[in-house]
Amino acid sequence: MRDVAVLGLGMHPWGKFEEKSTTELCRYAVEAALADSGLNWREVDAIAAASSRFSGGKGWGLNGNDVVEDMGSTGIPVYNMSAGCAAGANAFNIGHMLVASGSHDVVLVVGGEKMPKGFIQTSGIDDYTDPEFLRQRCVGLPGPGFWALLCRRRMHEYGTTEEDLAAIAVKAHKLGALNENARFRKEFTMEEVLNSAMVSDPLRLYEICPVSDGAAAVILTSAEVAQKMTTSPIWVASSAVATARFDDGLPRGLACPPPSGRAHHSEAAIAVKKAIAAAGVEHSDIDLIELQDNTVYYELAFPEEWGFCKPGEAESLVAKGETMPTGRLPINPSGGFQSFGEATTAQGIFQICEVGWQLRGESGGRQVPNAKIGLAQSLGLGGNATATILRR
Amino acid sequence: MLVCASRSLDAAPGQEVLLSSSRQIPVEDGLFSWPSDSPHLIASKCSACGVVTFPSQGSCPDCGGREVGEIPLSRRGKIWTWTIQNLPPPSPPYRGNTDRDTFEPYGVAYIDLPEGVRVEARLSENDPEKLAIGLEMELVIQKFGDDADGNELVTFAFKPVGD
Repeated sequence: MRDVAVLGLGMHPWGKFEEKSTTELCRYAVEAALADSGLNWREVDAIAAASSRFSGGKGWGLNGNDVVEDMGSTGIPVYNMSAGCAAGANAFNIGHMLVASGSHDVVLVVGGEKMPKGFIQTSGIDDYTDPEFLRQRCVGLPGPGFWALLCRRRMHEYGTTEEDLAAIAVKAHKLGALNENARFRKEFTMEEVLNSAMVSDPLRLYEICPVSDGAAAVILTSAEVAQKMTTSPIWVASSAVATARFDDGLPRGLACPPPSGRAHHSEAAIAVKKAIAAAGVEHSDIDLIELQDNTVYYELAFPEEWGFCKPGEAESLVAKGETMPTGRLPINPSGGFQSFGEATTAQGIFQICEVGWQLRGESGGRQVPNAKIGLAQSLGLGGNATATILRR
Repeated sequence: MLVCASRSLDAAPGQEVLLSSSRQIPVEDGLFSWPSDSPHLIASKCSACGVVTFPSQGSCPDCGGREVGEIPLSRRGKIWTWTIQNLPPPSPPYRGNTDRDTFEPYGVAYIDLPEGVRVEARLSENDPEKLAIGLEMELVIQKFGDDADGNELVTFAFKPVGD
């Protein structure tokens, strides 16, 4: 397998853009990534795109085809990857393989999304054999309710307080305020978070992410191409994809068996473990993590489930500032989903852009000092997860 | 499945008192026995590895085997975790009430049942003060909403034992 460079990074800021199409958001991100790489559209020889069920793609998730038709139909292969909210990083995984395998030298990875208002409708098709459909039809539990169930259990097991949860939202918005691509650039006080509306007990409005519009793009190239364009490329250390194990204790439909160990997101844990092994690094080598913080709860649970700290230790790391860019375990220096909102299928690529900028030292006030290795992780419906490690 | 309801007001152990004279229709078929004086959830059990799945399905989600048979689940279990849903969920597919003016918050929990299955279910209770992890719960069939023809939709839920 060949080394793969991350040569170009581009992002349309996250927000709500009534007047713009998904294609326009993607074009902005693609042009930014191309300009950043120094390459042009005619030099791109394959696309891996995130498939959306909410916007663009002709209703078939053909979002990469939309990009080709807009940028110029040059006859290149387009791979549209569907993996729920993990689609962006799933597309990155395919893009990585296309270059690593020697099939292609310059690959565009792109994801763009315009989200409908309100709770994400995870199932809309009348498929009575789909457990997700039955769950939403007969119980009615949107994402925040699922996160609330997990968070309640954590409070029971570790004594996590409402203040512990709010502290993570305060930290996220402190960093989001420093990020020109974030949708929410205002800091919140602990009191403001604790006074925000209760959505699904114990999670409040400012402790879950809303939905947003946005697009992000990455140009991946062979080492040969990269070394012609720059003397200091960022490299893909590893890219891993996983799905959930049946016995991890989290019902994806209406039921599951109680696990023998701790209930956890096995898909994310497997992907991160695989990525760390494939990169040949130790946990302690990783200078920052961009993880999927749909809710502040995940900033507590994920570092523990992946072995970055001990079970029950995460609250104290947050309280001591260790998850800030200058701390021992920087988490979501971008401001995370809390500051961006979730443009579902574009999220995985936004995370990879942030890790790339951090490794280049281009992250301004939210910069992790001397960051050399970074991890990005995403999670999607269907028990999908990805993990990507970049290094400089 | 359409069921003409002409039930007495003395509810059997598994029933909420349903006063309506309209038809009572399960929100989806195949999830629970109904009508029944002692309703239960319908699961499937793999004859090869013993894994129990709800709802019943034609293959084992663990080993993939197709030798599965239906079994009734116990009516009592314990709360593993719980929440209160304070806002209406997306509809469709949700079949309950989503009118913002009349929406009532509802409880949802994971209930651990003795057959070795953790079930996601509605709760009859929506007061956080009355819910706790470890609380013993009992299956009930309760009103979920109304369909377009004026029939009453009923679903499975759990209530605190002794309530």
